[in-house]
Amino acid sequence: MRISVEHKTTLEYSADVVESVMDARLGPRTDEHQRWISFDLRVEPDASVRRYNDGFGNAAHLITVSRPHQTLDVVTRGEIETTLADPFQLPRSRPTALGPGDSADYLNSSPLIPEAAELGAIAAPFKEREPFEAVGDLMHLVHERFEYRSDVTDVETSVADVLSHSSGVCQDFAHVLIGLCRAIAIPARYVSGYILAGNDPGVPKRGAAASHAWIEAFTPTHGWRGFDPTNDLMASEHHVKMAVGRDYHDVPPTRGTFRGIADEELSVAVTTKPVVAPGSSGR
Amino acid sequence: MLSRVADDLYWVARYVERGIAVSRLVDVTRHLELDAGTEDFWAPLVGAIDLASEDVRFYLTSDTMNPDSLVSCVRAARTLARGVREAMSSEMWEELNTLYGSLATPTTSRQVRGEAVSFARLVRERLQAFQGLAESTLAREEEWHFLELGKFVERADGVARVLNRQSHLLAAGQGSDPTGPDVVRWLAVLRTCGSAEAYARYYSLRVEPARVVEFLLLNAVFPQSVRFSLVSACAALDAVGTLRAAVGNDPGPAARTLGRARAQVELTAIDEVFERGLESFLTDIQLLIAQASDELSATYLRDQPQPGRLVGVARATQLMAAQQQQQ
Amino acid sequence: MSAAPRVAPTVPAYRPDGFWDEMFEAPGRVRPHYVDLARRLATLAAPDVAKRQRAAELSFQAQGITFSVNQDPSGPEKTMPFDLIPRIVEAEEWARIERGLEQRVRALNLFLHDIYHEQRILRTNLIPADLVLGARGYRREFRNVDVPLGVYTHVVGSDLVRDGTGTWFVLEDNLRVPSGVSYLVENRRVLKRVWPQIFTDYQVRPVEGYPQDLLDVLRSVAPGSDAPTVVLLTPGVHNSAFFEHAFLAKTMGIDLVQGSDLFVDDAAVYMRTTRGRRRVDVIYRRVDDDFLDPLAFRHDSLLGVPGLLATCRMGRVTLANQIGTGVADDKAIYAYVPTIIKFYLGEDEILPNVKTYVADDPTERAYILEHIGELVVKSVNESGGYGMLIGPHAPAADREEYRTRVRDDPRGYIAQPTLALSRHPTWSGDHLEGRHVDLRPFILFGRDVTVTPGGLTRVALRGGSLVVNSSQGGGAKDTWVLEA
Repeated sequence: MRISVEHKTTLEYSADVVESVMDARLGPRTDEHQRWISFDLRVEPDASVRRYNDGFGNAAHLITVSRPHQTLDVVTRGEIETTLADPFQLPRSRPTALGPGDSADYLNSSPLIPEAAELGAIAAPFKEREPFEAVGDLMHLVHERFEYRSDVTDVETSVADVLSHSSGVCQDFAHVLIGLCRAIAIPARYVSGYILAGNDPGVPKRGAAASHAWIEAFTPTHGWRGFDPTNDLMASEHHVKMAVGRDYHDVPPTRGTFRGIADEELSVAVTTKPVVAPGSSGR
Repeated sequence: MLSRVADDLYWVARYVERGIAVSRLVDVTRHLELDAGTEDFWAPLVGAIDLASEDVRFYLTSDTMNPDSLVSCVRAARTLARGVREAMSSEMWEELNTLYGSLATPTTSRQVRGEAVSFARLVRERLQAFQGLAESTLAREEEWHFLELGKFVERADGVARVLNRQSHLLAAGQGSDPTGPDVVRWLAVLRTCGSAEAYARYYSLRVEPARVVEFLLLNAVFPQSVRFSLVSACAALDAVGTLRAAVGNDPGPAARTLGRARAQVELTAIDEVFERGLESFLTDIQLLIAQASDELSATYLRDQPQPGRLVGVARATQLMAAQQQQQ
Repeated sequence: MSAAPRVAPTVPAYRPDGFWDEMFEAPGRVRPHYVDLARRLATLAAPDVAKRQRAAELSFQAQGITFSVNQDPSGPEKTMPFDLIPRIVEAEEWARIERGLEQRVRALNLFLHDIYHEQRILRTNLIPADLVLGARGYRREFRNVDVPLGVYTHVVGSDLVRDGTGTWFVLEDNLRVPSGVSYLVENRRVLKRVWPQIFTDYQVRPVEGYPQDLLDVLRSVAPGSDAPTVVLLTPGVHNSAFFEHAFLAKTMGIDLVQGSDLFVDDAAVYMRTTRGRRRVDVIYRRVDDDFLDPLAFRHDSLLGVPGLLATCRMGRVTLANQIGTGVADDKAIYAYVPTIIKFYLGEDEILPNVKTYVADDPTERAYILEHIGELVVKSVNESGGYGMLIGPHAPAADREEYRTRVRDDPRGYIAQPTLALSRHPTWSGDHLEGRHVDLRPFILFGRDVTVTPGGLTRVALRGGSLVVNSSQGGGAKDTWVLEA
């Protein structure tokens, strides 16, 4: 399936600021289930944009504007080919086991997902289950036990706080599910991305107006597969990945600094659309 | 050189020069105390009112609440110097550091109470030694120019301020024939500016207020005068401006502003000064110096990242708002 | 030399007390390379030594060679106490130390490259992967960066000690931002000034070349520029090692910058100068990883330079030492250094490790808990003599507290047997007494490995004390390495 994405991040200041430095993880990421056909990143005002790869293998961009400015607009546009039509299907060959680096990253605690006895207690009954099914069931559990509320958490909220008020946003749901997987020794990681929403069954509903977050768990049968606890379904060809990490902390879409004395306002707008591939019917 | 280092050196030089001026003031209050009928003179000179003589000296020498006391000046200069010690010679740094160390001993405060004048003199000599060491141990590069700039801007500003505070004495009868107490007062002004002997050489001891003003304000060759100080400050600023321009950057407006102040004292005769009114003339000079100092900061000394519009830049970096993955 | 006195008259009462003494091989018997010094000491009266001692202290004070205590900005500035009696190391002995340190540093750099790239060693069973990847000093953010010359640690300070038999051991490696080298240079300078006579009997290798050697190393790792701009990044005047930062910047003739002096634009680091911006190629940073870049590490650190890590990853600026070297001086990983040497170099270690029990290992943890009264227990991430229990000297309550700490956080602790550190005659009031010493040599790594011929000999000034850290009442001695 082809999906086009436009992601606009705007920072507005009440007075001139200088030396804005932004570290962006807005893609593109290509793996066995998706391919970015095009990727374009534009910044207003005139900025320097440099691409590099981060320590998790994600594409990242360093954006700098040294001259005085009162707005910073970062717009990415991309077209992505996604291929995972049936997320339950077994891969053609058995996945190779994770190396020591990936195991350590995705099994141990991380900055926003510290070890918590409560996670262990919730996950314990799933320990003996077949891992792929266990993750699916844990996902249902998270979806049912946690209430979606956008006003109780922020970007630095750790899993312990989310557990204590049983509510949060998709970022928090993802953190909880990752913590549960790790508690029963299933490697799990955080995915930052977009979804193409729809009303059909198996198609995600929530998360299309901004960037979205879900998780990937590694199971001996399926390798890395995505689980979206907010929408309570497997990530499929409707999901587009920007970056992966241990938790949000490793892969925020943007993170930056500026110098100046000004009030700041952030706004984000995301649009995802299906693309009818030209010529696809003519062959 | 680094803007921060230039800034700190500039202020080291200002505090050192300010310390020297304050120590002269301590000397002068002692002299005045021994002459009767001068109480009304003190307050404006010191800038503090309602203080008994002992207290004035404490206020001037060791009051750490007074940011311009001798001890505060030494402490400020040494604290800044410590952070930029690599930019000055070891001799300069050690001079300031040992001076500061000797102030920090417990016996010092007792000494100050008892022997404020000799204490002030001792400190002054050390601060002058610091200036002398700068003169003999530093290459004439940016470090030197910023020290010179700080020293002469402080001096021009300080002398102009002392004169401004006494301008009310002239309002009465600017004069040709000063009374006894007036002579004492104007001598005190000269001493405060370290200029009594030099004045005597010029004008053969006859203390005339107008001559004193002319000497301290307009003399071209005496290093304590406002004119000499501004000419020297301009020279230092030209030197750093030239280096900046050489790599294609705008040397900024400070040189023009300081040049205007210099032109005032270079091109005005003493009669014209009095015609315009001494007070308003001096106030103009002080305002131009303050403006130049701000412009200097914006171009050379602090954070201006690019030539261009002046931005109120906080020194600290701020974090941008982060986007939560919330939907 | 047959007439050389074997007994030094000023020190008739000096007793080695059964420790390895650097100067005396037995009561009254001076080791051959100390004979001339002993003869010199014999001619001295106590007041003369005291006078020189005072002159040395004044010299440190005047130069402001001070450190702030407990990182307290308003607190007092102290000078490190200096003992006049130099420590002497023979050429042959030094040559072995040099080889041992070079071997260690090369192996540790191969290890660092490996754990940030292919992770070969973690695929063996030689060292637990979790121990390495779970170390506080391991920086995922710095994986897969190809650093110039493959060097991660351009400056290393390793702490060496000798036990009761005189065998040299490596007690720990400092691979992050080791300090103390300014004392090495200044101690020599001051000793020459206050007591030039004692140098006439010996051929002492000079240490003054250190700053120039360091500058050469820093230039050699610049990303591509012919005439690289090198700066020294300091946390500022409140840092306890600020004097050293200023000293090194000045002697290398480079700018001493703070975080706010630098900024990143178009993936390059610039400093703010009076003439405008100026590109920086190499940053000798004396700031810990955590504070380098608020975008990558601690977001509340506004000391750092936003975008520095990304610029580094792009190879457009070089940091010395590189990011993430702390993993290799984690005290639990220290226990595996002989294994690391064997794995990467195929050699046996020249300088042995001190026997170390890693609490993360259940068997070794049990041993530690049982024998805590005989052991020195150390927190794996702390240095400077903090976070440490000296079992035999500790009150029962402290031992109990450390038992609990080890149980609660086994990854955080290791233990070592209490070493009978060697002693060196040290001036105490009006006579010489034996005091425990260690030695911190400095190793530079650019195109080659160079060990500065000398080192910081730290001495525990309190009689019987084993703690040599300056923050805990330790002092320093000049260290003489003799010409071959």
